[in-house]
Amino acid sequence: MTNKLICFFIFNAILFFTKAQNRTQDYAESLKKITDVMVYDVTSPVAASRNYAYICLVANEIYNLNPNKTPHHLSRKINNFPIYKRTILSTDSVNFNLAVIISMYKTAALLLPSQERLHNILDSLKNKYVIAGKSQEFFASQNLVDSFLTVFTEYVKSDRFQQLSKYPRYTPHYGAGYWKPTPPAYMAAIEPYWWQLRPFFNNNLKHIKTKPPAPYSNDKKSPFYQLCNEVFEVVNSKDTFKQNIADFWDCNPYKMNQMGHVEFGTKKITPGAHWLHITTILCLQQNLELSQMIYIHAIVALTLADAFIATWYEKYLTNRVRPETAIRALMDPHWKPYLQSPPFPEYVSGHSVISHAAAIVLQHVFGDTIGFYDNSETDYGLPIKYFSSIRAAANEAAISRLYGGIHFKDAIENGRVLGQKISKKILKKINF
Amino acid sequence: MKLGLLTVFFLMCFQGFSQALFTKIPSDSSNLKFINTIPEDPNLNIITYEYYYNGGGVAAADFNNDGLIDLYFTANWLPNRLFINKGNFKFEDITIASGTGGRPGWKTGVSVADVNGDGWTDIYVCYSGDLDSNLRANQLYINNGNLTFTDQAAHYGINDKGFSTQAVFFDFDQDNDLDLFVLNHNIKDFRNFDAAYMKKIYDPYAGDQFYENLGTHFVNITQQAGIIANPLGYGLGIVACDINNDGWQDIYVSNDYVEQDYYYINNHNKTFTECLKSQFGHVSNFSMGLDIADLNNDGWNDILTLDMLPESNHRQKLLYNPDNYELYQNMLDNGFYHQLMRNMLHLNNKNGSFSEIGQFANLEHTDWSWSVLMADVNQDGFKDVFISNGYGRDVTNKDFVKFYANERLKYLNGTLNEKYFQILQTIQPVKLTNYIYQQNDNLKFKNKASEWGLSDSTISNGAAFADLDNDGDLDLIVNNLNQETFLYKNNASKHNQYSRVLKIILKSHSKNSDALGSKVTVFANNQQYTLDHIAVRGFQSSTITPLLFYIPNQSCDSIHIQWANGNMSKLYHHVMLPQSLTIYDTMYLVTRSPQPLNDKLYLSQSNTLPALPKHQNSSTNDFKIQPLIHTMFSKSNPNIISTDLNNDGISEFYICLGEHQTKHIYTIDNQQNIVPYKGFKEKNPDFNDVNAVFFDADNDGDLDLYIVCGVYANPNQFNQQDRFYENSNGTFVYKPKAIPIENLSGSKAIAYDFDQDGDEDLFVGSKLSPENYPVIPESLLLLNNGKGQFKKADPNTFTEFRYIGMIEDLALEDLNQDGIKELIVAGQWMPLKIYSFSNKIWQDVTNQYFSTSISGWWSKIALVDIDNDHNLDIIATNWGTNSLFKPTFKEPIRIYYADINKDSFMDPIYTQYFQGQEFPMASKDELTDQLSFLRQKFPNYTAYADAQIQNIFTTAQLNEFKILETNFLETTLFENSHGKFLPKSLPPQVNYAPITAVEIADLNNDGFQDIIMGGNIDNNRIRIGKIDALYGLILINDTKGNFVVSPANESGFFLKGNIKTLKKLYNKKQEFILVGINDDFFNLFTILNTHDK
Repeated sequence: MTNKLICFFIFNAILFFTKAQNRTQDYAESLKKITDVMVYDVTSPVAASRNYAYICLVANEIYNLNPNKTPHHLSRKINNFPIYKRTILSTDSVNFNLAVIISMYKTAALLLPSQERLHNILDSLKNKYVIAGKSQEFFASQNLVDSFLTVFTEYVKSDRFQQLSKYPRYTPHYGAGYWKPTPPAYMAAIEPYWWQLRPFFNNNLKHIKTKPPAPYSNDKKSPFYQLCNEVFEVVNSKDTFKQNIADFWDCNPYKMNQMGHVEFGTKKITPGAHWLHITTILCLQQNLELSQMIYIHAIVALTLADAFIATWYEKYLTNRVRPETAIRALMDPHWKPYLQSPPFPEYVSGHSVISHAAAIVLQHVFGDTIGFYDNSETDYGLPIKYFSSIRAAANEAAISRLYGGIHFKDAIENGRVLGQKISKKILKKINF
Repeated sequence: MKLGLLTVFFLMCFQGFSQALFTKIPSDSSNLKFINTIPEDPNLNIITYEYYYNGGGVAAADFNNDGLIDLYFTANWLPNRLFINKGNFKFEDITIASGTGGRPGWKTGVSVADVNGDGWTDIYVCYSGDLDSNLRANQLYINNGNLTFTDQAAHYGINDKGFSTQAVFFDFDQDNDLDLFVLNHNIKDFRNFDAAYMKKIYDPYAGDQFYENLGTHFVNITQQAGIIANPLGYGLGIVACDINNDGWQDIYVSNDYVEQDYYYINNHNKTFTECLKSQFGHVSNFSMGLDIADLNNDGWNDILTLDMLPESNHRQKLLYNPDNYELYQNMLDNGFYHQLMRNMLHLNNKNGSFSEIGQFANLEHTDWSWSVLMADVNQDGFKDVFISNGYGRDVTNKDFVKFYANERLKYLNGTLNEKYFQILQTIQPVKLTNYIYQQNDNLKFKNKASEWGLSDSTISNGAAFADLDNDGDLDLIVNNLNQETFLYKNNASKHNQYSRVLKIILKSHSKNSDALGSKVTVFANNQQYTLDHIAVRGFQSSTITPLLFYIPNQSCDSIHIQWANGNMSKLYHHVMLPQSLTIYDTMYLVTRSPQPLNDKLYLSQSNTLPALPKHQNSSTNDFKIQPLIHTMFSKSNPNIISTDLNNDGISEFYICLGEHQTKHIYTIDNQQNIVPYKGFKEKNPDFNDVNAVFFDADNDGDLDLYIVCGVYANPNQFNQQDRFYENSNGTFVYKPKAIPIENLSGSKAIAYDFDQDGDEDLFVGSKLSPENYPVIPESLLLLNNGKGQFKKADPNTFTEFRYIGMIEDLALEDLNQDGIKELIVAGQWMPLKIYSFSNKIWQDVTNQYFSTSISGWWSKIALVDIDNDHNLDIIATNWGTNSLFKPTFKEPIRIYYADINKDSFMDPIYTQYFQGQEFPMASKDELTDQLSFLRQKFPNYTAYADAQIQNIFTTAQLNEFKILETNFLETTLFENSHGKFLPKSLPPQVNYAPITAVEIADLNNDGFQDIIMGGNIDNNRIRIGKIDALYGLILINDTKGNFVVSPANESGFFLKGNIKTLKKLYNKKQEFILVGINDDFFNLFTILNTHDK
């Protein structure tokens, strides 16, 4: 209850009820509703990052079809985007703010399993306009979106996602240093060929080099053993401060709870969704215009998607063991991490890469000193948290994985370097 | 035959009556008013205690010695109830007066036995639950002889405080008193543990406990006796009886979850040896109740364990997780055993091994099952099977697991327990119809629940059969959860004109006054009927009742009794039927004669074969490449091809091995040693050999060698290229240029003058398209230029041969006696095909020889004249009927294939029929993993649960599909009858597993050909599981072309593993069978009748 009050207070304090702010609020709400559907569907962090990228990209491109505005196109700056003639798209009677919202739901409906839920939201939106006598406005906007999406769908289809099924399913490597499925569900490794997808900005993410992980060793003096020991100690200390941090950034889209024959999953947003939500918070807090908000969300979403592709390349290049498996083999056969180990190799830490990648973009827009209240996780029973800067949030997100007992320190530190490199290249490329 | 006709007559009798076999007796009439009602609240539910819905048990015994069987029911939460039988299906509740209601706590199983040996039956009640240990002390109600009982568990030292499911009293040391096994379970969940460590722990509460009866009291000897008592045991079922027929009682324990079942062999010295892994191929995963009885009337006990696999497609689709190979391997790596979620019927092979044939018997899927009872309810001489089922709430529903639970949790308030409780309240109970299977001949079962009057839907747990009205048939009592208990009167005796009843009451003057644990075998009319007089079977239930035999004869020839104390009695005189006998363990005693040694073996296993390497599989997991296929095609080696190269009367043979294994030609010397043949050197081991053929390619009078290669996974130019070796004065010279370059995955080559130009050509059949199953591969016809130089035949001339199918085997025989042989082809997803040469072309003439199109997964063909009528019959081996695939002509299995997702690989969609309708085999997760666009069509499991192929795909996609069909999986003998091949059944055992090897030999020297077979396939997708019911098979020809199985203990042929090839070899003295087993060593058997050759 308190959480909700504070939340309400924050939003009221920083928002004026102007029309412009209603529009940005609409955008934020639509994104949130789409997030809810993704959470319901159990979307993996990488799949979610792809969904968000397309949704935010389409929103940006639609908004920039407005002939009366200076365009902030991204389409010319990303890989393989089809050239389409703006002139073939009719913009008569189009309400561009509405078209943006429609485009988000429609793009989400292209991508998410529960498209019916999205169609239902769109239907109620349509009904609102029809009842208000604004059918023409709605349908003109929707037609624009539909025409754009016919082009865009082909672009989506060519990103190689549909073809991932042709690759062999993952087989864990033989040897103690390699990733093995982890308890309790021993799920198969998620998306081992994700790095085959077309990135948005960098043509070849493989060329962004990352330091190799500390090699596996059972020698107590080895760096690897020390890294194990660090995770072991942190988790065993049961430090509630650190546990709270781990919980706050858990971002586990599917935690399996098992009690005998009864089992069920509990769900949270993905780390990418968390950082997009932080982007929303900052945009609203800084009172940005809708055009800017859409543009910044698109850049952050595309950056996150690229960062995930790069991370997944590194993960399935190194195939490193999770602390849970290593510590049980080397130190304590009964050891359990504080959080559930995610079902893919350890190195590098995705949280670290994508948090720092997003943070670089956001710092570029909002500066280094801006503080904010992060309420991204309140729906999942977690508190609102104040961060004094974007960088502080990224640092905490990264280190939270050590506190959770699911990452080694080198995966976190080298992940930070990788994430920062990725977004610096992007900022340079788009001249932002 | 006579038996069969009588059975038909008997069946007609029952179908003719309007009255069903069972009549439900309402409680208003019987006064059997009992409901096991369980409360549910935030602190008491399936999440706080995982066995909350396991329900109660039934005990049936004569507590007041009035000749009528009384009933006792356990209730988990409410008081237990004792009902005295007043005759004519009227009962009186004397719970309060008798003092048998039990204490507060969570009551589970009940066991009846005369524990103190005073001639009055006592009651032992088990307790469990997440409660204080004092509330879990089991109770022993000693019968005071006046329908009052006194709890003396503490006095006897058996107030066990574990989490008990059930207890069994039996005499494990033959000292004439009853010892006690207490079956316990853990109430904690272990998914996340160190297995090796946990297995070493002795857990007094979760681990099973064993108590020896010392006369005045019991003493716990769990560890001395060799009983496993680790915290991983989740014991749900136990039966103690003599399983290996050594006169001592053994134990089978069924365990839920990851710990496999236990099979304890009695060592005759107050200890047991657990030996499940060495005697069973695989077991139920979430094992629940079990029963042990002689199902096939061979005098040996068979074991049936229950699990939770539903029968309907709908419920299977809501339940199945995707196959997880790492999880399965993890289970094995941690020392657990092969376990699969379905009921398992373990047929006793009489030699310390069991064959699991639950699917052959049609007993595999009865949903959440609790009690299983094997008894001859319809009195036809064959035991039938009753299975109770149902569950308090449908918690394994995948939509609940993945979607509903989280959605609901979001909107609930309160403590975690309260929230969970509220979620649970919204999950529906699983009310099901119990199963009652009628056994037809040969272990085939058919569910008769509705016909026989058992169509009520409810949640049923413990159950018992007992003749409550002494009319000679078995009435049924079922304890239900939250619903009144069922009492079914059996009407069989009234209508039975087929068999006669023999009632035997066993007694003893010893402390084991009911002679519990004794085994009675009745011989009549060349049949035998065996019953074990044991008190505990099924689930949480117990009976002490007279033994009831139903003999389809006027009299019986003899009765043998193996007493629990080791003595043996035999009644040799004819006993006229019907009859009722009371026999004491001091009557008709005989000395136990030792089993005669079998001196009529057909085969004898030779020593180890040091010259032959072990076959090794590649580590490829084919399912990682094509996740929807049913089995791994890469595990089909090794192969043996034999000939006599130098015409010296001694076999030479080539052994096909896998990649990176050195291949060689071998010979067998007169000391039975297998030694390498000198004239052959293989330098490059990269090839994956599949088959080979010795033939005279260059017309120089000696045999050259063509070797067929092929792979399923990772095809490349090396591992698929066939090879040719020219025999040059006994030395084989590699001639790569003699044959064309090809990259086909071959299966078999056969040499013949296909173009009728006077030299030997080659037809090379292909097995499959690597990594692209089930695309029909191209097969090769290689034409000889007369000098041993081969080129591919013009595809336009030999069109018929190019895409015959997925070929497994080939044979040649002149079937129409025109001087040119016909080509016979066997393969997967196709009928046997026959091609004939006429008018200078090869034509498909299959229809001239087969009247119906029998499409199978044919693997081997053998031509043999079974009846010495001078024309050859065909033995064609097939997949068998002991798997989840059970096609018929009306309901075939199909595979729809196309590159639906345009990833340039085939997507094979298997379908099969469930209860009359065709459904895809793949679970939602498996299908949408392969075809990600379907995630939108099926956002949840319910949406997919009833989807048929035409609901899944668009019309355009459906048009894209090619379809293959298989309607017959039985290994079959096709008898040549005036130029037509007519299918003739072989003994049912040939269908217990896929047969993958066959050889012909006259094993008993009677001038008629006998058959040796081998099979099993372990490398199937997890849901199909290991099919390992065969240990080699000998079929003896009765000289009329009918075959009889010679069991392993009589034939001398017994091998574990996946037999891929059987080859008859000879030296100058003897004949041999060399056996090639996948991923294992070769084995050599001597054919014993050829000793005097």
